[in-house]
Amino acid sequence: MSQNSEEEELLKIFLEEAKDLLDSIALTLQQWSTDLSNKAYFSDLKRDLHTLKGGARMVNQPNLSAIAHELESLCEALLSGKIPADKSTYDLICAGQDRMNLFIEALAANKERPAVEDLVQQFKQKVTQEKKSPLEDEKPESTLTEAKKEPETSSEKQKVDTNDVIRIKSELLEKLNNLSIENNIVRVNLGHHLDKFKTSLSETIRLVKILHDKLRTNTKAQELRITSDILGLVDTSKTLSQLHSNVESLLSQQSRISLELQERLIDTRMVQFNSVVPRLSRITRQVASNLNKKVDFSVLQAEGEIDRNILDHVVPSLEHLLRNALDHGIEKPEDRKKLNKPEIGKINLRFYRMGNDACMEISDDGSGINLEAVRKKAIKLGLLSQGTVCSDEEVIRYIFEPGFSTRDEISEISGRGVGMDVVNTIVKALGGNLAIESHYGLGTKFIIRLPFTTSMNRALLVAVHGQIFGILLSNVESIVLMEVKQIKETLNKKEPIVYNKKEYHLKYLGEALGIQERPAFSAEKESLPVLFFNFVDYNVALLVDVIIGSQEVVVQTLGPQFKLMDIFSGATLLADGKVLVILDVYSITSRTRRKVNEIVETPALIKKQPIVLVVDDSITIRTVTKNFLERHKYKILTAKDGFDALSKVEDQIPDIILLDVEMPRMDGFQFAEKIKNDARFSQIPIIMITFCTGDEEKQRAKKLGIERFMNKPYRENELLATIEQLLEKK
Amino acid sequence: MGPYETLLDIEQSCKTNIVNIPRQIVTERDWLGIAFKCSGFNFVCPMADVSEVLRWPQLTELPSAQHWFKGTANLRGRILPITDLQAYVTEKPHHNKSLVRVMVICLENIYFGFAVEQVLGIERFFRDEIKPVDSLEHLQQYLPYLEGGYEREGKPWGIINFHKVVQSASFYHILSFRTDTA
Repeated sequence: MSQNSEEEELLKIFLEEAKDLLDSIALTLQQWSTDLSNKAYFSDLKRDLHTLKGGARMVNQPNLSAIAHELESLCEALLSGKIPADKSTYDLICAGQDRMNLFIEALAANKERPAVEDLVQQFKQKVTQEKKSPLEDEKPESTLTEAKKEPETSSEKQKVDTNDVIRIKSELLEKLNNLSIENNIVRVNLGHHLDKFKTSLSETIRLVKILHDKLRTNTKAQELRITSDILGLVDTSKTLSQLHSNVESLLSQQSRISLELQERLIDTRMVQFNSVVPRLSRITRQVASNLNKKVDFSVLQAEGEIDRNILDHVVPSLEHLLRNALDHGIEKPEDRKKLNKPEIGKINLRFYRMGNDACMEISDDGSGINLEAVRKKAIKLGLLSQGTVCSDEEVIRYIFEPGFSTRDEISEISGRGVGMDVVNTIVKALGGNLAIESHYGLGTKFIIRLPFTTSMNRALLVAVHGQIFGILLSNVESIVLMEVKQIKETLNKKEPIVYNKKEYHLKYLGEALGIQERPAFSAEKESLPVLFFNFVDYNVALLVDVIIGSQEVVVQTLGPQFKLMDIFSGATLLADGKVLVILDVYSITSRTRRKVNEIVETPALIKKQPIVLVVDDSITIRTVTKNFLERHKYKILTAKDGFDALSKVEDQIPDIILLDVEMPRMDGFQFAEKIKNDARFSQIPIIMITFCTGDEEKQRAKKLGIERFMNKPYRENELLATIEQLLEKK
Repeated sequence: MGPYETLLDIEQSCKTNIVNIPRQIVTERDWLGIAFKCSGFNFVCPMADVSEVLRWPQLTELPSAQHWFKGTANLRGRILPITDLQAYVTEKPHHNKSLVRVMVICLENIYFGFAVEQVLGIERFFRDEIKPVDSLEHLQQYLPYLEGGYEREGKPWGIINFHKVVQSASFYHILSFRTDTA
């Protein structure tokens, strides 16, 4: 199965953490060896082992977790004085450390992991030999025996990259990328200026030549010795011309280098699309089981790369579409039977490249969109007036309106009506578009089309009524010069144009933008340029006054003030320093279709995300918990111990805290005590998640006013339910 | 007199004729703001909010924009949206273009340009002079955006909080579907 890239990612994190922890353990052991009687080292050892154990469980390495657990128990026994801190104990712990190192190395190199049973036995004996301790009966891992098989089965899956890798903060990379983009803009502008320079220079050379010819025959000029000056000028012009071509060739070299630099930098932002597939299939399984629906989720195609930035932004939308497909689309098994459909529903995911765009398709064989219900709801919400004739495709687009849901009751999964409009907005903001194909009773297909990267693009500069706009060239299917006569006829008749066997609605850009209704047809112009666009759900032919040219551009966002406006997809700077706005042709042309609507008065309410503070000393656990909760729309803060958590709480008050117990500097109890005694924070619910399950701890937690106590490793659904419950109470 | 004695002499005369350099004293009571005019009223806003003041820049107008949204300008590579403050608040545009300045307001690292009638300079007043908003009725439509005000030489001054302007809902409706305009 393909759900393993997430696990791989996690394994990488864990391996890094484990190496650090083992280094720290080695250091402590070395210090201890010089001073065997000093007990201070045992708690340090114990804490590192504890963290290692937690991480090992998270990445499903029960053998490693078992060895760490036994060593931890050994340290506990040492601390309490149950066994003596002598050379034999020291040697045994060192043996354990060595074995763990081997284990980690094997895990990283994807080789067969060493056995641990012998050592685990020795540790157990050591703890019990001196004095019978209650730990004897505790079975740390019931998986020990079955774990024996585990190395072979998982070894194929875990392909850990062992190449040299440096970690760079993504911010820095982003910054470098932006600088490189700016560098490219400057280069493009420099090119324009150089072109202008060349024009002026040619003109100068021409004039000098004329002057030279005139003066050559002029006797007076010869008297005044102007001719020699002119000859000098001719020479200088030649030199200038030579210099110009030198600069031009240098600039083209530099252009090649900086473009390559730009491309390499873009490469660093690329990730495989299939890296999100495990996350999506997990959500599908989870939601399907919550809804008691049977579904077969298949990924038909997921090869290819996409900008990490884009992928990160679009994944929540894909999740939303999947939830929608399950909740609204796929029917319950019994209903499907009645409809003569296979009991198990189908949801397909496809990812593919289309020119400069990346496409993501989610399709289901569910009930499809009930257009009648959408139409009624649109009328009810005042978006559509009764009796207005509009096509099915126009009706479908109403589901993108804020607050639109045909559901009467709100379900847990979807149906709050904050969703499709958000999905649409996100896709638009990324410079893409979203299309729906739906057949009532048969299923729905959502197609998200996004630019493959947000960096450089080519834009077509067009003008209407003297105003210049940019249109991303990647969107343009073709450009045709059309006769004015034909244009007039088509505009009057409002008939579609047939081009390349497809029908296109002709629209004038000036009208679509509300500048001018018709082009100023002048007598000397026999034809006007028309741009053809193929969108997933409809086609449009856009008439403009003039095409000025095309230019490499870097699209910048217009800022938050424009967040409600979808007709501009961004802006860029022209060589003369003016701002050029880039139009979103899809929105512009669809806007005229929706002119009956008034502007929606208030900006879509953005639901406040509850903030969860995750306090744990293991980065593996922090990462797992963070990923999991972020999928469920929580905002996550993390802290590596109580001390760190205190400063985080001071900065931003979380809505709930997940708290580990064993941590360096300040443990969970100390932290909870501080929080519960501070009037500012005492209301924040705390869920304590720990391996310690003793009654004593539970009592202590209760006394401190800690709301919940959960065992590690937690069950995802249980944790989610607990968080929701506590937040509701709050 | 040798050179060394001359130097000593100069030092001595400097010490006797010393005048204290006026020290910049900003106390807790002080408040420094950029003063400007809008609709004929005087306003101030916190100095920290204003990153610079520009003359009328070269603008790219947007089609179908509201009358108060003047367009976007290139501020050293950064795209700056420009709103006419008076037109936004009172629906009346500025008349005298020569004095109009654009105040570049930086709020949480996001830049907005606001065109105002005239920028007057830096104004200093005391915190305890500040009057509550409800005593500033004559500032009419500006009231929702004020943080308070004070009086100087019989003239009222309003303290504008640009956060409030930027947070008002209509600020984000830059588009007007001008289907009726010529």
